[in-house]
Amino acid sequence: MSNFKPKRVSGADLAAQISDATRNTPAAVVTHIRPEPPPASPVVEAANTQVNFKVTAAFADLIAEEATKAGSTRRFFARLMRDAGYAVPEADVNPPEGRRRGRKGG
Amino acid sequence: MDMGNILTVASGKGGCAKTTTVMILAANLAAQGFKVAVVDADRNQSFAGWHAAAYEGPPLTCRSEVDHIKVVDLAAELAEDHDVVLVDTAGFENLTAASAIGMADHVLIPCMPDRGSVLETMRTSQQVGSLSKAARRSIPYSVVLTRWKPRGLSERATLESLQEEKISPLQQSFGDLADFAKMSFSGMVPISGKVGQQASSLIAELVAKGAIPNTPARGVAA
Repeated sequence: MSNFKPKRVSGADLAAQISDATRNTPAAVVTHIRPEPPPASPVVEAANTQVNFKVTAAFADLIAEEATKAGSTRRFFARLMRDAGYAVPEADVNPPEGRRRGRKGG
Repeated sequence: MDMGNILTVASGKGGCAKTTTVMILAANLAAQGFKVAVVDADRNQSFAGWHAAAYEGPPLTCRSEVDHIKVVDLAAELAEDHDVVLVDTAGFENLTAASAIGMADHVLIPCMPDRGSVLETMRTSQQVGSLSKAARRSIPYSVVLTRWKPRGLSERATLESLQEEKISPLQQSFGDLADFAKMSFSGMVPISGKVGQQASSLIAELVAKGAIPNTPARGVAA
């Protein structure tokens, strides 16, 4: 029996050599691939419009004071008008929290 | 000094005594003075676990590697300073086993006396053939019969099926003996008695086929 042994090839070279024969062969250790998360449902932005108007400084102070109590200027006016009998959209009476509220530097 | 021989034990059939064959061969080769290394390429780590927790016998090197590229480099590295490197593979067709076959100097396919085992023996022998072509070199293989009762009906059917496929198993088989199960718990591999005789005869056949060197060149593993 011949003791001739062919030169050993590296693992990477052998993998390349036998790749055609192992194309459909599974790995010895199953790699769990984390499935792609489903795309987040698109955020439907309500069609909003910016309202600006000029008032006196005293009225502006009054609005600012009452708006602070109500939570926002938008909420203050919406509640005021709904209480007066107008059909004010709920999104204006209780608008979604659009920004973080918290102490700065905390 | 010549490189040691890489002998890969493989079959797509689970439970056909691949690891048991490696245990018996490793311990008996080490007892005969060969410097033996075993690469456990099965993710279950049956051999490595047994070697670490239970094995009591002549020293042998045991390493684990299931990556299909690293297993080739590890076996080649071990072959530089061991007489024989046995590679134990997982009981299903997988990339690491394919690499272990592709790099082997000889492939040993254990076959039990049942239909599933025969079919997987045929598949594995075909895989050795296709990997031989891909690697552009001849990879010899042998089939060893395991859990074998010489006069059993299943054994007769197994032999007939193998002969139909022109597969001639080795003369020496491993019998259906309680000692094989015991050693998995005791860690003591028989190197004498019936199992020792079967192991010695099988080693002699593998030496004749060039799968194992004629004589130890390096002494036992540290």
